[in-house]
Amino acid sequence: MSADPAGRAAALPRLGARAATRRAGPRRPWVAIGVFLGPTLLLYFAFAIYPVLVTFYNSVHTLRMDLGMVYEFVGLEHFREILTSDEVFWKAAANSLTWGLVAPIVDIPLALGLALVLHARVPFARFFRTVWFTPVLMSYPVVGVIWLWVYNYDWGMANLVLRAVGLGSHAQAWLASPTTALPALILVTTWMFAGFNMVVLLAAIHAIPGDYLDAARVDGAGAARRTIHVLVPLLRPTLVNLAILDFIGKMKQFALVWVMTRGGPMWGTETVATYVVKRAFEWKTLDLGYPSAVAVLWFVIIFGLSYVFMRLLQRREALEF
Amino acid sequence: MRRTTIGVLAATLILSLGAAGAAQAAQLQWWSHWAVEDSKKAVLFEAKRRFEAKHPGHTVEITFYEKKNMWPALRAAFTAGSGFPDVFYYDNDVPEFMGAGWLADLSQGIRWENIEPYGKAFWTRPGPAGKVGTWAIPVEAASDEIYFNKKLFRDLGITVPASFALTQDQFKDVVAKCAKGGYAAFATGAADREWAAMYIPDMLLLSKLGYADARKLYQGELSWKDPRVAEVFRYYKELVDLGAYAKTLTSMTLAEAHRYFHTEQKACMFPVGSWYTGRAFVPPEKGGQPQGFELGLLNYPLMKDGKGHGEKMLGVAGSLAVAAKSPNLPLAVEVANAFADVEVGNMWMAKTGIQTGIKTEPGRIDSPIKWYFDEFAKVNRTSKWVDLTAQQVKLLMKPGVWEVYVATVNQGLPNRLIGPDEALAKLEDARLKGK
Repeated sequence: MSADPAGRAAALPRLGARAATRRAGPRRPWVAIGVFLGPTLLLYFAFAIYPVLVTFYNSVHTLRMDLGMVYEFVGLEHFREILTSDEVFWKAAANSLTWGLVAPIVDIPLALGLALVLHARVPFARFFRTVWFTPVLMSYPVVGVIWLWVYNYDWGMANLVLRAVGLGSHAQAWLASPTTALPALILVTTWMFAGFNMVVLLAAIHAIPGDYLDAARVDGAGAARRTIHVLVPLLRPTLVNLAILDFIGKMKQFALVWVMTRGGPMWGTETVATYVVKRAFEWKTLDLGYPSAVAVLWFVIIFGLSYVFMRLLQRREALEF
Repeated sequence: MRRTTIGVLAATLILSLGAAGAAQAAQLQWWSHWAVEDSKKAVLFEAKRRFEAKHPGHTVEITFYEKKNMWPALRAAFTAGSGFPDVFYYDNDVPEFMGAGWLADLSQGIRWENIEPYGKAFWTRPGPAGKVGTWAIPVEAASDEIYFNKKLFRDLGITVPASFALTQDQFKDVVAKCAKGGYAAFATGAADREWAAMYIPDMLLLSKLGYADARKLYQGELSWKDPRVAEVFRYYKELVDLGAYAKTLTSMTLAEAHRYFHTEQKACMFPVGSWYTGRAFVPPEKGGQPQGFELGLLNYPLMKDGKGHGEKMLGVAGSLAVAAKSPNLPLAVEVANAFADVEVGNMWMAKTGIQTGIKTEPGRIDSPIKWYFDEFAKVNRTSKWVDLTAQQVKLLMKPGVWEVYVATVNQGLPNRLIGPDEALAKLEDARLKGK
């Protein structure tokens, strides 16, 4: 602010004029705003907001096909049933939660390891980066079919390798037992997303100023200590965000399970998403009430847990570099 | 002004004539399963040809799907109220379509005198708000059969009795011999069919309980803890423990199971619907059974003190329905009506070797697979057909019980994940829940 009173006085009329312009009427190009935003908002409402609202509505209604497709309000009855007597839901919830918790613990350190390998400029780094990232580019159905072949008992690669190294007695039908089926699927998503997490972490590593690592090196820190005490703390915000995104993604897992096991055997790989689809489309009814209630409940659980994890894992102080 | 009025009238007339012309030349849409079954497709194209010949100017476009992908597409289109076909493949996978009012009532407009009465009866049931109608044309019918590899049986020293029905102990012995010989007893693939591993237990239940009690069991009117049911499950578990199923059971698809049986010849038997022939009786390069493959048929095993000896399951399978809100409804019904013809029935039998709900004249069926018909007739000469198949069990069960039946009988028991008592306890629990 100027210390000169005359200058201040001269500035006042200009400010007043600006304020008057604001009051007098905006020159905001509402038409252009409408043209550019309208279609997007319309699509967003049609394909995001509206389905969500309908799902919430359905969750407290039931469709009476016997009365001629009439919706009947049932309040929280679906939720009561889910929470008190639906064993399959609880199995599916346990599987989804296991997947959601295990996957980040496995995926993120693996991706960090791969990123560090590339950061260390190993030979053929570009080649490895491409190879490790490629699975991300494939769709779930394609990946599912590939891994169905890998896990095939007779000629799948998993069992061929075991037999080749003399561990044939450990060869098994990996997707035929609840004990091995879920870990087998978790491995697939790890294979699929390690490359994506790796690329994000690699970008984050490159963004860290070299001065920090140089200073640590001058202080005599070896590679391991520089990684553990300098790199990882600086990467913490990225690691936390990736872990939470990984958690949310796995809690919603559907397509891979649908292609590979359809939730079997014996609900061993049933996830909440596959259960919702089964209840919605394979129960000889068009009533979406109960599956909508499951979906709403699961949305609340994912939202709540994500919030808790964010509060627990994210530090308040911002790291700046 | 007058000129303008005349111009408008002329334009209206031209447009209305154009619209009338367009209405006359309808192109009907037909969605069908059986994308990979050329023999069935030949019959569908014949029905299309007959319709188009009888209704000059109108055409039919057939789009083929795998049915499990077709159901969601149909459901979405019907729910949206647009984009649905005029006629479409239909079966008991999606009975809710009838209650929703999406299917046209075919009680009228079809030459029902050319359809087997049991076929019409099958699709005559309550529809929207309980209104009874006839909702589909029964094109395909199928019985549940046990096919076997005659050469493997010979090599393993297995003999088949003249009745083609093995006793409970004999059947167990066959399973044991197959397993000992390094073969799976059954070429079953449950990866893409939720009922694939249900054939044998369903056959055993029918043999033991008889049709009436088997229906009661599936409908929830008989306890799963009935001692006879428990006996069947325990016997079935013995078969499983002997090595009845391949370890690839869970990851093997239905199509792969066919090859496993007739091309790779890794299994002695193949319990499956008689629609087996639709996939098997095509050239080997299209997935059919190899030349010279020795195919045989068995009757169901005879459970001790069984009430259902000699009974065999036969039911309506692939059918044709018409969309209730088709803009070309009368024509669409005519497409369905093209199937209601003895000649089409004969053609279906000749081409596919599968039973049909359309009436046939066996004496006029000239088919390259006549040997199969003879074999089928020989095995089934004393069969007492009952209106049920492993796939139709779903129709009888409540959804919650079916969910548990799939988990226990299609997955748990054949994979040796659970025992018979645990399976029965879960089923009884589901029955009592009544969902």
